[in-house]
Amino acid sequence: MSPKTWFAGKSYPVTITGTGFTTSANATASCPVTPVAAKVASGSSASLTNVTVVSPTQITFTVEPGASDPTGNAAITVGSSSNGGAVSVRTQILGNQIQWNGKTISTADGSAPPAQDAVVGEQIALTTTTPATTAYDGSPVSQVWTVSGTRIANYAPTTASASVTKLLDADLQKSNVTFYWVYPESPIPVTYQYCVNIKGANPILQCSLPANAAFDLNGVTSPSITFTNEFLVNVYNLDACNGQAGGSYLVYGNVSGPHAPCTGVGKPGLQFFPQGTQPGNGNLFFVQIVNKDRIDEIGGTSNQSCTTSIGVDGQYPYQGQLNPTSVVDAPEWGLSAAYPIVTRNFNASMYLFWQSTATSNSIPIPLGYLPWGFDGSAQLAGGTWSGSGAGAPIGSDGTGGNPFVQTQTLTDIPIWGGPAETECTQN
Amino acid sequence: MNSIKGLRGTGGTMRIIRASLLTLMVFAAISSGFGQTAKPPFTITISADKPTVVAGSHVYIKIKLTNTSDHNVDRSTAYSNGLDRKYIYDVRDEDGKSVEKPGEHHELNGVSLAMGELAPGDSVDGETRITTLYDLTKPGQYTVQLSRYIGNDEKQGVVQSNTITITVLPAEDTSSTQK
Repeated sequence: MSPKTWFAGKSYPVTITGTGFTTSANATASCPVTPVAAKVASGSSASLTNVTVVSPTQITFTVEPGASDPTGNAAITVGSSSNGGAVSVRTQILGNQIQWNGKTISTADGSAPPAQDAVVGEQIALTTTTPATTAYDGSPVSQVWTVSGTRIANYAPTTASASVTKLLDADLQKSNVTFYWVYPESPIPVTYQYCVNIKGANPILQCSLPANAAFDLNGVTSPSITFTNEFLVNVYNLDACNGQAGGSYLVYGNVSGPHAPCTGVGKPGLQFFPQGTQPGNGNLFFVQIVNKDRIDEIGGTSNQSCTTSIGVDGQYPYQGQLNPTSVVDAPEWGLSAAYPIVTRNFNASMYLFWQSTATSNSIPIPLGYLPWGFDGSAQLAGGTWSGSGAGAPIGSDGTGGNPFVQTQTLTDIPIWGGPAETECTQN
Repeated sequence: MNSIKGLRGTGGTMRIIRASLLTLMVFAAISSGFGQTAKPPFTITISADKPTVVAGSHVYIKIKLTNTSDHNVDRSTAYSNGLDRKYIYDVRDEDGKSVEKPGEHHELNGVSLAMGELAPGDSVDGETRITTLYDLTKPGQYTVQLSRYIGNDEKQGVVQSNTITITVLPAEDTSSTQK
């Protein structure tokens, strides 16, 4: 029989060669035309049409396995027990199904696949049933996934680094694919198709019907960061504590009491509040990226300039907190009489992240960020420091508007090479 | 592992704090009066992000701060270049010598101050980059211990963490380095 391998959902002209077939011309009541029947696995179907006993040595027919048939074996039976005995020829149907979490989620017959519920950052590991190579000519010649939506291969931020591993074309040309969606979208289509060389088929290279799957991807609803702002940058004299001398500091905020490593009191420059409804069990948390921090100190005999590399502020996550009610920041700079004039320009982005805890191997997803900054200056005159300046979320219009920026693309995902690091040079 | 100590007079540690010129505050001052009690109000457990590193790599220490008292405790962070200045550091080489980098560290003059409190029974995970202030570029073994003040009165003492060891390999020997 040729070909002996058929793709599910595709039509093949098949020729069986042998001896002793009974044609219609030779058929009699006691010796009818040689019957041909297909026997396939439960749940599968394979229709035979145009069955023709061409000659005592040849039968032709057209076969079309069901589009959603799984990969499996089938048998073509020629003849019957009342017609001199039956002979079965073993054949193989190559199905094409996408599987997720142990179940088939795809269709290949043109019907809409049932949408699967998932959340942003959830690990999506899709598999297919790659058929054995015994019945056809070798491994798949080609295979390709199409995965819509914004998807990545990985994102595993730490304090030391964060980078996005993109999903490459090579990742989409294997029998299995693992990825993460970043942003909510519904429905998101996924397809898989593969091609193999089938002996006896014309042309020999045959491709499966596309297996179609779909996902409804859920994320945090209405994510945002609200804030309270102390507005002013000023100089504060902080007390000695635990053997440490007190001193003057240029601060975005309003603080008093002792300084590090003691505990003082006061209001930070900004207090950030996470907003949004989580789509399931998970953690909201903050990550702050320092974009720019420049301090210029002018002294009597020398000047000092300090600049800061772009990096994560402190640690990932910010303050190590998961699902905080709020977090705060009060940037400070210690003042020295050696540099009686100081200016500082600071700019940062406070990101809100979410990570599912409902599924294993989930990755954190940035939801958006609040850009903010401040400018401040301090001057020492007559032995007394005075300060001025102000800070606020950048883009805040002062009328209640919130400049929170929702992340939307791959390039919106924050990356860093370590903590923000300040370096100073004397000039 | 965690114990309360009076203020340690290690010159290196004190110099670090003096040099930093940092300030940190919380919204509500932590209540005083712990004194030299036997049971600390919190515990500090540290671990190495990578116990073995190649010379020249940054070394990150993970910190778990747990409130073991019946009241809120300070969990503020005060970062300068990845180093949480809320902690006192004791980093020594195989000879027991402090490996604090010399100098005034003007670059650490600024701090990102994030105030906060930890409720009874709660824990928070922190992380600090000790190579910001300590020189771990020579191959060998280094011991690391962190401490944190209980309150604003130094007589209340500090709570010490466990001590861990960091192994630094020569730059060309990466065979057993944990990546």
